Amino acid sequence: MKNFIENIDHIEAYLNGELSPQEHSAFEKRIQTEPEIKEQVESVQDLIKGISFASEKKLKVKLDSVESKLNKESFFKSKEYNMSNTRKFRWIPLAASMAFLVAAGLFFLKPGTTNPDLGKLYAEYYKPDTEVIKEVLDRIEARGLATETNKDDEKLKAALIAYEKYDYKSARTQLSKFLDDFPEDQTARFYMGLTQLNMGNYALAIDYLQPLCTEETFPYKDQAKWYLSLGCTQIEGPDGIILAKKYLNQLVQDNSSAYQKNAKAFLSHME
Amino acid sequence: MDSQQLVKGLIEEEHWAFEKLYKDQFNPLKSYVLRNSGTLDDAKDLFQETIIALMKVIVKPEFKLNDNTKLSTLTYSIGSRLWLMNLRKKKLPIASSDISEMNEDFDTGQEGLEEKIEYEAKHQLIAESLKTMGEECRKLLEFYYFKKIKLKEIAEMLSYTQAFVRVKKNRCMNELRELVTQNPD
Repeated sequence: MKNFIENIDHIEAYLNGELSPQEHSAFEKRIQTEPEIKEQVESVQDLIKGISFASEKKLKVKLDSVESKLNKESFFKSKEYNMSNTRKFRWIPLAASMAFLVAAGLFFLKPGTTNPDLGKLYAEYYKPDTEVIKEVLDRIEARGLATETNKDDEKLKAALIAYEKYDYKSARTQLSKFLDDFPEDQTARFYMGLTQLNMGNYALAIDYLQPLCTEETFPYKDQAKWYLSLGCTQIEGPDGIILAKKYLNQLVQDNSSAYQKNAKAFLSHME
Repeated sequence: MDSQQLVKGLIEEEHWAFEKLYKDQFNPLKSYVLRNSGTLDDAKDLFQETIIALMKVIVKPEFKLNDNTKLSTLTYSIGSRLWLMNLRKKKLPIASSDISEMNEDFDTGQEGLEEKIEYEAKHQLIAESLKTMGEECRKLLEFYYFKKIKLKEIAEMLSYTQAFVRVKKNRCMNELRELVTQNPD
């Protein structure tokens, strides 16, 4: 009985149909009678699929970053894309969408009314969060050291690490699952908002970020306001601009805000 | 830049090559998706799937671009068929002019959503284990099993003998198998 390494070539030849008919049937007989061989064949099949899975995932991360760059250059925005307005809401439950629309005053998302200069301005000012996430991850880490490892914390951590690695699709999937169990979790809602923003789903981003701006217990209200304002500038129709200005003005008036300078500059460009 | 350079850039997974492909090929496919019950988001997802399927085609040693096979035609052909397959699974309407493009036998290596979810769960662990391996093993396994590059060509790329690459590849497979067995969760 040969070991796994020595059998790999023969197993692959069998899987690729490269054995002669005699060799093929002889090997099939071995698979049926020798459990170890059967396990090795299944193992090779799984490993090959796993390698392809990992490679595809790696490739998708690269493609996401290309997409993200093109998003910032407003490549995906044009009058032709009006139908895309519908997609912005495809994952939001109807009631939540309505609540958001009423709260934001966005009763109409008129197509084709976004100012193209705002797209450039957005691209200039928007940077994915790299500061807060470090703090949040450190906090989760510290919590894990102090107490028994919490599986829920681990799930949130994995989602945030995906965000940190620019793997926004994976971050979105994991955050979505986490929010199913903990719909009120502020950190998960904040990063879901940022993830959606990064993926160009501005209306969804607003839906997650806006409530956080007024929640007393949320420690990163300034960040939420800043990213919310940026997202609002990308909503078609005048109401997005009104909302953006409202939150930018709040940041400008707050002398303790780290975003005061940026908000002032952004507002002056808008006007 | 000619198509050959672009193909080379894509195989090497260069950022500029992907960007060029988006700029040249995204709009025609997007129009196709919008015409067939899809949204811009669907078009973006489809374009990524298309690039992955395209990569599997262009890395094959027998693949050659000629006057009859333009990269744009190939991309559009793969993308539109993938989208029709998606629609068929979702049972959404297809514009009548596009029905003729349906092809039952078209194989792009893509799978249905349910299989995809199962596939992801099952192979996540292998992917995680792969991350902990050395760079050379990861590259070798990716070249051979994902990109389907022949051992002889890998040997040339890495300046080794073919025999050495074969032994190394099998050792890496064994190492990966052991890593997976050690971390069954």
